[in-house]
Amino acid sequence: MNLNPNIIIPTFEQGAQLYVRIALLIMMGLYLLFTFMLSTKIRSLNKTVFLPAESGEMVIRIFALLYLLVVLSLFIATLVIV
Amino acid sequence: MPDLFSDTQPATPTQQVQNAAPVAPQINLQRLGLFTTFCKNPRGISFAEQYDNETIILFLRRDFITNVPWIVATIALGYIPYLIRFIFTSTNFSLFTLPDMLSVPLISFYYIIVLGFAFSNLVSWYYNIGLVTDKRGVDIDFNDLSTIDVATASLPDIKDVEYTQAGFFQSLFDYGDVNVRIVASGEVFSFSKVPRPTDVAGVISQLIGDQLS
Repeated sequence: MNLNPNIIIPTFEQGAQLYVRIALLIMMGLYLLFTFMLSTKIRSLNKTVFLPAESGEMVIRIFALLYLLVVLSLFIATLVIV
Repeated sequence: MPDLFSDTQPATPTQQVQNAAPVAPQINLQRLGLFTTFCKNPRGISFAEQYDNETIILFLRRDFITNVPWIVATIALGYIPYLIRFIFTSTNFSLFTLPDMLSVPLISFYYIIVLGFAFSNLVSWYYNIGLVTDKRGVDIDFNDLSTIDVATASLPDIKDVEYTQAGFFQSLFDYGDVNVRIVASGEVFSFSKVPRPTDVAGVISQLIGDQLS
């Protein structure tokens, strides 16, 4: 029972949406760290073994960078939109 | 009538040159592609701490067929949101609704994770490399996306080489583990799930033989 009319008690749906938002942002933040770690590892592996460009080494590096940028963009977009 | 099977033919100029002086064998360098798993005398590859006069003889990766489980898993994960949506709509079940503002980033994030799963598996396969040079064996392992393990064993330290092909799929697709036992420590240095293990073991055995002779 809502005794104070100034306090708005969220509905179950509103509460669930709030939890989804918080969980989504935390997971995206953690995933961004993981993606950064992955691209750093790829860079360090390329200093351990030097593969020729024709073997697709450049494709992997570019994809890792693009992937990091996509995850970063999605994190920022979610932070702004949600 | 011409004599077809006579062995007393005069030597051609090329044969005379070959008889005159032994020619060093020409090494045919092979091109390395994105999906190459076995390459003898690879072209354009080197590694950190490689000696100046060290030549890479064999380049190995896990057989490509070992990637099938994660490829299938990625495809299956791609269909899961459709499956969940189908189940929910067909049973008219709804716990709570998400606004488009929230569901679009959620779905995008899910597919980014699926893409990341596939990419991390590809990277893990791509950088798990085995190299056999004329001086040593080098095994570069990239495990769990966090550990880089580089192991080397010089050829004089190698005691014996053995390979195992266990199971139906390994026999069917001709891949297996090549284990190299090291003299001093007795440790086993392994190239796991590499294609054509017979050839790999043969090349290493030949190199050990060349070192001994």
